[in-house]
Amino acid sequence: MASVSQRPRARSGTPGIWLCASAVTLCLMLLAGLLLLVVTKGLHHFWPKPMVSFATASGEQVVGTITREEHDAAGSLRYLVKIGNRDVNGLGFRWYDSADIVTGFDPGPELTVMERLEWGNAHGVPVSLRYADGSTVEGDALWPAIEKALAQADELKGQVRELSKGEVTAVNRELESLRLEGRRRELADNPGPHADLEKRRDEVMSRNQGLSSKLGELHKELQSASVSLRLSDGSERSVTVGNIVRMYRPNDMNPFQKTWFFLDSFKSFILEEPREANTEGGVYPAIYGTVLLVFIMSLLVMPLGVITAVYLHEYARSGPLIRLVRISVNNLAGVPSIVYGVFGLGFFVYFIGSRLDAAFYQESLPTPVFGTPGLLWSSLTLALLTVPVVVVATEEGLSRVPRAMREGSLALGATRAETLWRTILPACLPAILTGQILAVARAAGEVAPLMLVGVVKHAPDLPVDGHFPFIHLERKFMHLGFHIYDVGFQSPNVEAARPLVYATAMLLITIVLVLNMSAVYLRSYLRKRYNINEAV
Amino acid sequence: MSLRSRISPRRRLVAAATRVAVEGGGIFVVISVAMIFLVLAANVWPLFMSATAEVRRTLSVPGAGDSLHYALNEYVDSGVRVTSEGEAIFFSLKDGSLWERQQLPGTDTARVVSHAATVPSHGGVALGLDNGRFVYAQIYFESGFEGSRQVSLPRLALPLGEEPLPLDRSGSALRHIAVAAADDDSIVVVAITADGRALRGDFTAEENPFAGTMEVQSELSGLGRVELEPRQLLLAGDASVMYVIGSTVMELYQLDGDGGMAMRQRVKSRNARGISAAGWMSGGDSLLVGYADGTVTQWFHADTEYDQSELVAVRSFDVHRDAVGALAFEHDRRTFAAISPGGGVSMHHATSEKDLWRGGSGSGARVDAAAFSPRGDALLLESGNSIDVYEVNNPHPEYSLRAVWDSIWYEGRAEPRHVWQSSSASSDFEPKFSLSPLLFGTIKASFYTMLFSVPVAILAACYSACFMSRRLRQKVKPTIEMLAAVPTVILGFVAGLWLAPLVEEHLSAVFMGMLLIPVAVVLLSLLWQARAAARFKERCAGWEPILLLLPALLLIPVVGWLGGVADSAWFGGQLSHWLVQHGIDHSQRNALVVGIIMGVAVMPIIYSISEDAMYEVPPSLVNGSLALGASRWQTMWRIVLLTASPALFSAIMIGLGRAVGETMIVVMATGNTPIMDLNIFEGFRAISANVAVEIPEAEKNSTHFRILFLATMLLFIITFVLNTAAELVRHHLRRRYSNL
Repeated sequence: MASVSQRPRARSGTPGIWLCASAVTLCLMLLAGLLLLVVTKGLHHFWPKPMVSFATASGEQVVGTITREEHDAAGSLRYLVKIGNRDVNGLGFRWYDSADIVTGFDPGPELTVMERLEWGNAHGVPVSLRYADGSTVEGDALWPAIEKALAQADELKGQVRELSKGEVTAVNRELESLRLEGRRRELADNPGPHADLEKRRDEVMSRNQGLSSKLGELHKELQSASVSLRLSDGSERSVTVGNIVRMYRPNDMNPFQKTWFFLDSFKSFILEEPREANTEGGVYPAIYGTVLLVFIMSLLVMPLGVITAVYLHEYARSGPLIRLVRISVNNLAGVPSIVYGVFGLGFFVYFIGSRLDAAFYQESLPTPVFGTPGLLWSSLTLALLTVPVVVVATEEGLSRVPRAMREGSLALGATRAETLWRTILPACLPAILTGQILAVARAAGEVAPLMLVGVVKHAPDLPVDGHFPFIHLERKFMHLGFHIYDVGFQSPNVEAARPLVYATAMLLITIVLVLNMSAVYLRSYLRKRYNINEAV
Repeated sequence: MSLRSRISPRRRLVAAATRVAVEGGGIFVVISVAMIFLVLAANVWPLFMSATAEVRRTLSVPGAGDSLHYALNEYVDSGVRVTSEGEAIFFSLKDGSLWERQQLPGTDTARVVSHAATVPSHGGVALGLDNGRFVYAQIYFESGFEGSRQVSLPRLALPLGEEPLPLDRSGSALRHIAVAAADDDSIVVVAITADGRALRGDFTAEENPFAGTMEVQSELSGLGRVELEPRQLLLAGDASVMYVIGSTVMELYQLDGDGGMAMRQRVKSRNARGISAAGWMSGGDSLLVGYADGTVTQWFHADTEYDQSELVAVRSFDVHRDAVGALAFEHDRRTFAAISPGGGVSMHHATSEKDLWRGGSGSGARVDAAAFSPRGDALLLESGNSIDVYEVNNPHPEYSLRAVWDSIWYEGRAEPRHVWQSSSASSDFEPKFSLSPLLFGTIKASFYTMLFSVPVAILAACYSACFMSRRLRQKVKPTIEMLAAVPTVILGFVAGLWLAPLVEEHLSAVFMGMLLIPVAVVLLSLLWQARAAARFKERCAGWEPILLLLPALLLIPVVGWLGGVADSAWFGGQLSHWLVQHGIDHSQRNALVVGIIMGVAVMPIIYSISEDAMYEVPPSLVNGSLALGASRWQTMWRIVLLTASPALFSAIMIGLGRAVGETMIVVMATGNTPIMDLNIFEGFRAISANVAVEIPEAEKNSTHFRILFLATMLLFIITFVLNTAAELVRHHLRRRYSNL
């Protein structure tokens, strides 16, 4: 007792405990900081940013949004301004020294952002709207007229999209299948001209002609009306309505309009296709690809993981074999994902895929069908990669199923298989589900192996469409994670793409963390349930 | 027995099927791991196979005269032979039948006394005549159809006109000649006459737009005398240097554009051994010289310290017991064949120093000429009156253990280096396949990652296993584990685009934070211990991390401000600039950033495993220690940490395995430059990133492709060893816990 009070500081170790505690604090802050960063920057992408106009000492008039401000090495303040009008300025962003800006920042309510299909945003003030018949609208009636014209253009664009997604694709596929049929007959030693094929080809071609003229008309109509915009340098530029994605005046919006705009942008981000080499527009195909990939993967991984876990926990007796299986599971969990990618490339794509092609797709060679990276191979690779996740979660669930349940079932005369199917597996269904969710979360965030076995920066067609056999497992696909890498690091215009990358990252991190949280919740629910059972 | 008989066959079937399925599933996992290894090994294996060559066909030499030059087509079915009589003979390489003989202009009236060829892909051949003139022809293969079959047939063009061109106006014989083609229309020829004068001619063929005919512009210049008695004359591909090769001495003459010449270097061969053969390797950068003692030496120009380049002997090959009689070169790769006068043939790859194949005509007959096919899959040897066509299977000469791990002296470099530079679209640059800088990059990344993650993870694990209140632990542990679920592509993106610029700007604040924050925490704890009310202390025990949140949030701006103060006071504005000014290289995406971010990815894994192990230390041990009067800190330090230390080791192993294989973060947050530099402020290129970036573009089954598989296999083996060790240690620990 006496000695304890003599050296209380050294023994109690409070500084040490606090140091340990600070490590926990750091971990928590890292997670919170990361989420905060990605979410705020991601959401910021959708919010309409105020525009300013100002003049520099060299007489340059600038209209744009200030995206960043920082002190350079010499300590002077400078602004990174998104000046838009890339077709005129050559670049979309420029740095301005605060010392060079002679006027103040003027937030004029008439300053307008025009998002275009090409060349990014245009900044300026709309002057007139010219219709196809040559009549023009100016002045107060201009803005409502523009809104109306854009709404009409949207409708037309919808028609164009429908046509090109539907019938044009159908025609192209028919032509391709005719070509393959011809080649197939050639391979079967029947080279001669095939009258039936020729006839069908002519039919399809004439249909194609009709379609293209229809499309041409729609496009012409889209080009008929145009909006004139006065740019910051005083010049006017006219853009056809077909080329305008949307127009808005951020400084003239009230908070409700801004919120509406925010929601609308978010919606189009989720539901639209990317534009301008992925640096603008939405991420719909990437979401689609990710979800489909993960779905197919989970169909494959579920039986494998559960069976392995059942083997380890229910069937195997301890011995060298079970040690070997356990070491294998741990190794599967520890092997770097890139190794899976290389394995998938070497085995699925080049070994199995090229044999499949040689056996079943002789007619389309040398263009490979399965002998090239694709959705199926990616799903298989990820399934292998996530097996250990399912095994570990399922095993934990199995170990929580009370012994009494097993023994009761066996005592009532059920075979081991029946005990497994009717008693044990239903009891640990939440655990299996937990494993599935964790596997899905892991697969959704994995990028490195996909770069080798199927993901691409831009896939022209979704892997599921209305054409037989509806799910095209051989197709390449887009993926949210790869989208982040590609747009953030491979695109020519990183500065313009940065907000979009944050938005994509926010989407991905939300998906993955929500999945994980639901798994954690499910697991704790499971624990509680069986703890109670055991107590009873 | 009676019970069993009551089980219906259907139930029995289900039981058996389940059993088979489950056991098969268990084995499946083992098979998968084995498959990964096997697939990698199967793709790597061909690298280790040695080259083979065997005689496919033996043909009789078509036409008469001595052979000066052979050219083969891509498919090894047709060839051209240029003879000392001045004939170009087109023949079939399948059956040796002679298709066509074409007499080159001027060779009917004058004798051919010398010959030279341009790089093989160009196909130019120059013959020096005894009347001071020369004739230049270009051999190429044209694809056409023979029936429905595609064939490639030899053709001969005379780009410099139908007449032999004069090089020496006084008309003495051109004893030695060398030729270089800048492009299809412009050709440089140098020659040495019988009386020792060096001559140069620049010839350009131009189309006369009025007459529609080709006109040859020529510019002749006398370069001066060459004292050395030459055996052979060579000209650099860009016609800048002329190499006069004597019997034991090589002389290099710098040629300038105005027809002047100056001796630049004179190289005596070691031990005065005789030079017996010389020629350009593919790419035209390396001179290969064969000697009378049976060795071959590779020479190229390397930069010296005075901003000059000098011809240096780079590597030697002991090729034959007797002399090297002739050399033949592959068209694209740095493979060469050396032929001894006795008929022995040996094939080597210069850069990898690999001895590929040895063989030759067993008859001991003299080999008169040799040539490779354009794809390097056939070698033609003429000896006596017959031609042997060897089929060569030599897919991966560039690989050798040395080429992959050791420092290699590459063409044009000043010294041997470890270099990874796989992209080589043309044969001008040799591919450089050193895995050393990549392995170095992986080790560097893992080292800094562990440096950041291990202390934080272990300390956090200690706290949450031993001191944290149970209620808090239930919330905190899954939260920290959530960090492991964050996709690494997001971490990499945040590291590359957000953290890297931030760290560059606030470098001193980062270091100050690492130093000051622990100190501040310790000071705070002492203050707490001395001043806080006992009631308060008791209530807050186990909740310190929450208590610390506020001070930590306050500390961040303080540290940032202190960093700014330090920057302006000591480092002239910004530490990163100051470092560069003081000779320490600094790039924005560097090992520090990777270490921090990859630390974030690895830390939750180490935390989770070690926390579990520490939490599961048998309570009897903990309670015993506490009962004996040890404080909780002492119990943690001496009992829990010590008992669980094998698990900590295994957690660190697993974390290390993760760091070694992590791909997206290193792809995005490092500059991906394959350099070997321990500097924390420099980037690197890791194996995983290299594989991810390069394998989609590597040609299937090429050496590059297989070396990337080799790198992957290396990753697999490293992680396999780490994970297996970790699993064995954990297994051992589990047994120990159950015994306690």
